[in-house]
Amino acid sequence: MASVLAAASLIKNPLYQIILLGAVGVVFTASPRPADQSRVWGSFLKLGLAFILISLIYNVLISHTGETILLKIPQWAPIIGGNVTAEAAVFGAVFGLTFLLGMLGFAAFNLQVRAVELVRLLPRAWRSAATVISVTFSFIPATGAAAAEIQEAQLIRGLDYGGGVAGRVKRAGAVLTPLVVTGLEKAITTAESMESRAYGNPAAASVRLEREPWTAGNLVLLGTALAAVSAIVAASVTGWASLGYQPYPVLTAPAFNPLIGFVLCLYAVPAVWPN
Amino acid sequence: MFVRGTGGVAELIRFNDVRFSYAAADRLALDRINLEINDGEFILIAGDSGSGKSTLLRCLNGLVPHFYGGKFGGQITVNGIDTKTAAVAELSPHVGLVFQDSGAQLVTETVEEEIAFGPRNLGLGGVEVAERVERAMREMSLAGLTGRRTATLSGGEKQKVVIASVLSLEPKILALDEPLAELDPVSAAHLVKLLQDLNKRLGLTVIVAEHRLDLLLPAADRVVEIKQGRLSPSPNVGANLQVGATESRSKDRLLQKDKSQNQPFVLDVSDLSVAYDGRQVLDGAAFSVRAGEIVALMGNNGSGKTTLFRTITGFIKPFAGQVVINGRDTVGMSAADILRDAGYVPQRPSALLFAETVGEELNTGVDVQANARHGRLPHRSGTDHLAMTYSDSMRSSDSLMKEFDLDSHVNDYPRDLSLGEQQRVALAAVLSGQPSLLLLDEPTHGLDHGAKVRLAQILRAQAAAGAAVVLATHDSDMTALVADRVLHLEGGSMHSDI
Repeated sequence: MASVLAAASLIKNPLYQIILLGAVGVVFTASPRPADQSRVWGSFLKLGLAFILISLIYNVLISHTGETILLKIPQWAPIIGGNVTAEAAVFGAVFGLTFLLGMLGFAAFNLQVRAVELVRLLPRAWRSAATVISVTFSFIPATGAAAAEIQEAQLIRGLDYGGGVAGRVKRAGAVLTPLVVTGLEKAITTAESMESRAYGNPAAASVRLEREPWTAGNLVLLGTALAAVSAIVAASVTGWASLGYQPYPVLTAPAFNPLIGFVLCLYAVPAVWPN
Repeated sequence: MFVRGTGGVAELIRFNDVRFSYAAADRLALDRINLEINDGEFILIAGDSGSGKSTLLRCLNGLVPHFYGGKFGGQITVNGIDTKTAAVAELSPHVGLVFQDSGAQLVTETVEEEIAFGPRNLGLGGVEVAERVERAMREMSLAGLTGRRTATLSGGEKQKVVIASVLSLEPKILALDEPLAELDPVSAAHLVKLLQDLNKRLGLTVIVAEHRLDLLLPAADRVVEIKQGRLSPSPNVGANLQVGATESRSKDRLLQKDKSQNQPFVLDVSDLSVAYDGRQVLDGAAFSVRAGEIVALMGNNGSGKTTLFRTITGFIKPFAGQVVINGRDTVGMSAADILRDAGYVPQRPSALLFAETVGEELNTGVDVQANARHGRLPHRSGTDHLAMTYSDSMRSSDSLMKEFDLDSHVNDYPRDLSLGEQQRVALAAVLSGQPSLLLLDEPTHGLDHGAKVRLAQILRAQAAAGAAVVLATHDSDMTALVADRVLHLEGGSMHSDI
């Protein structure tokens, strides 16, 4: 997961990004996932797409450099006044795509490899991290379910926020407050429940814990992840293949190196080699 | 597996003149409690909502006062440890505490992880942890849930996993807060049997706080009743059972039945089949309800009661069948449209409560209703027409407040109220729309007998005013109190009682 996140943050070339997105998508669709969770990840995806759009619009309005001028906003408008360029639009979209990749990578690899299991492969000093991560992760589906419940409740109460973008924004706002309240209520119960089950007991720190053995599946997964990330980092450091992409000043097609393309396909390995 | 007491009668828990009030509360939650519990006893703590049962249980592992703060007086010893000086994490290996909302207690992703959580915190080695997980799963018959994600479990399954997750601490004491509230009669009886078994076979001291007493009375060695934070000297538990309720209603009900015979159908469900989460839940379900009728829809956990309601209200689309409300087939209509005619109170009423105060909550409901009547709008602007709407709505929210006995809570925060009161606020908010059909999902969950009687009166009044009422429940007490007719939902379709 760390490997895919590193790759996602290093790569700014839209062609590579799309390949990586494909690889992650394959893993995502191949992963078994419960029905209630796919809805949560669905909203994750929507959030990512929304981010691309926001980033695109924002960049188009703020950045006025670039030579392919699409239209002009009069100069009297503060900040947004100036040229609207295709270069700025592409730059914004690529930036948003980076964000979506990060999120989707996180989602897909979380479905495939449980964070807790991953941490348990590590030396014991890292163990308490496993507990915290596990508890955090169980919060994601719970929060998704709570949000759905609140939206239903608002329908039941007949609260109508009207249609269109304004209505959607209002509704999202109205969901947020109860979501925080229910989240806090759940957090209190969780804390009570954890303490009641000896969380924070001093005994835990003093005893040696056994590690779980590495399996072939684990090794393959780790191997490909390491290989892929080292290739990408190497490329980025030595500069033998450009990972970046610069749409300014004039829009050009991004460079493509087949080797990098192949390396990125390695990220689909968890889909064909489930552990 | 679990450590047995040394034999004979050994005192395990002692409350010595315990007083406690929560931070910022002016009332004592526990008032001079003196109580001894012996090793191996099965104790039933009876008492209404808000009487102090939960607080008492939270004293056992030191959550009160360590987690909650507040003012604490007196002394409690558990297995020889003074709870005032020991940390919760030190006491928890002795006391397995299971709270009310089992879903909210799950802290990890998978069943095994959940059960291993306690033993891991105790610092046990991997082998020992695995053994304990296996034993606890065996005790709770959880073999079928191996490898499952906790988020996908049903309510009953979650509860069993939660119990297993404290059993794996191998405590001497198992304390449960209203464990039967979410369960149908069959599962409830099964759980009681299981607790009895843990008590007898393993010598576990079992302490259960409940107001559903019928099933637990035969199992308990001793009943302790708590009222407004004080222990009652002579527990009068018979009064809570109210056996007479069934008979007194039956005559009224016959009259009601004759009367409603001529009323039009408000809801007519036919041949309804629904698949949800890859499983067929309803298979040709059919029933109808007339105006003025109260129908109890009974069925075990997982029989599809909630799915049926969610289909009627348009949240789930059926793959076959019809739902006709007031003469209109609503299949394919949006939930928002259907809910203009149908009032729906889901299982957890707190989900419906958003506002800062009860008064505001009810006003919102009334405003929404005014909106629906006068097209969009009335944000309290100035025209005569709207001013009138506004004063109308004030009046009716006042009358709702009276009708539902909420006058004294106008300025309270809705989610701080007792479950019974929350239920009434949610119901009042839904009823402000004057729906002709009212659907209630497990409305008696967490309600004591008094609150149930109050709810029954409200439902009667709604029916008398012409509403058709359907309550999904496994509470035979409530069914006896209020239902004109009983339907059983089993294997996805209906069976009529009468």
